[in-house]
Amino acid sequence: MTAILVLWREYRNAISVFLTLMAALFLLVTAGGHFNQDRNLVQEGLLQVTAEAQSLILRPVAVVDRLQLRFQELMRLDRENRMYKAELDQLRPLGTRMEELDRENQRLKSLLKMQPEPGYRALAVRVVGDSSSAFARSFIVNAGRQDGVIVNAPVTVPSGLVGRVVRASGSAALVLSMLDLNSRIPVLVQRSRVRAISAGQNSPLLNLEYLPKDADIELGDAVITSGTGGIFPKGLLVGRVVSLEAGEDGLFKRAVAQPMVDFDRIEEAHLLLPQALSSGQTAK
Amino acid sequence: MIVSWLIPWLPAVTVCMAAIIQELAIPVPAWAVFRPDLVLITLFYWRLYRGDLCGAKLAFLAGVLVDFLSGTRLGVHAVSHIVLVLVVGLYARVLRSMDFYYVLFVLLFLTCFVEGIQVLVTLPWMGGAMRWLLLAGRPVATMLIAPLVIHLLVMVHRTWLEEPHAR
Repeated sequence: MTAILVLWREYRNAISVFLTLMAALFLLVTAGGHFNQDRNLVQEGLLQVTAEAQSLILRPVAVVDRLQLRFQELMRLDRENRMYKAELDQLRPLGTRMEELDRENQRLKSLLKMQPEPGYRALAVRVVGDSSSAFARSFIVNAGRQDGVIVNAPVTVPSGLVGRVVRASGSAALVLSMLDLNSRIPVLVQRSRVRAISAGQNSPLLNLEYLPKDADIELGDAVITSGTGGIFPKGLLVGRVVSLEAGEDGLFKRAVAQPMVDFDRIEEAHLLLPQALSSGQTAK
Repeated sequence: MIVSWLIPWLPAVTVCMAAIIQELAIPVPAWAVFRPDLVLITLFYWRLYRGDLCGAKLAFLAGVLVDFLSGTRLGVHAVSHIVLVLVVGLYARVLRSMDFYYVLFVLLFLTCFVEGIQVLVTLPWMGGAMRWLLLAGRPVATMLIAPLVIHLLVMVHRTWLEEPHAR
């Protein structure tokens, strides 16, 4: 006993460092992907505190951003004003035609407005945290359980599917991008209705797995969610086929799809929530 | 009384702030590639100048926090940050005597070193499926932002932590 105490006094720092390193390695080997479905209050609390802090820090950034946009807008208006004054006489005969075109533009815009999937309501959210890691693709949004957010809720932007919620706290949620290595989404080729699994690979492209060797698929084909699996509704645009490779052997063909979403520039997104949970339409 | 109790926790607070800021979603395209490792700079500074307040345990907790926030496999950053503080602690005397410009290149090297450890420990699970562009941009961004971050840390250090409080 005394010997142990002497050892501890002598090598306290070294033992402490060794134990911490062992704890980290133990975590690395045993924890695995930490996106399980069980609620973990510590993780949720941490997510909540972080998201609040990030929102707070981002406020001045948003203010500066708005001021910059406002300034640019004023400059643009000034330039346009001068230009319009100079060209007003020339454009006067075209006024009626312009008015007609403007009305047509408004009609087309309203036609193009994104509609939520049947059975779902869309909750608009803001991205407040983004993964800085080279090993994962996930981000934090400013809506959580209080807004009706549930785990596995699909996340979309007007240009297509983004991913799904993997963890939700009171007012924040962690979204797993479909580009993440852990992401698997049942999809089908829109033209030929061939089914496949879209697999993220931590790169800007998606692998289409389990495509039969004789599958009818061409470059440029649109890939949409198949609706199977119970998480994503059918028909959400995932991407377009950009590469095909006929496997020399085996049962499957290799294909690669390019997502329609620019993942590095997502600022707002829609969470698709089951209609029964309906309440507000916009998070905070 | 409360202030004197809180002051030894300042390094831990700055490390947590660094983790939160480096995980921010800033709407600038360059942020997707040139994202500095603020936690590394903060750990590096405190390990050099207040090693008694910044040891393996803080490195472990900071690493787990970064892993959690970024969705990385738990333990990846924890392991690499512990190794980082060990290495910095080992060469602390040499590093403290260095000219600041050389320290910037040391930070560049340390970022590459830490990323190397992270790639190594994740290889069994991920193969080569990393975001290599981000891995390449991070050391450069870390080196470029380091003077500013270190200046802020020096201010915090001189204001509250000039005298050792907890040995």
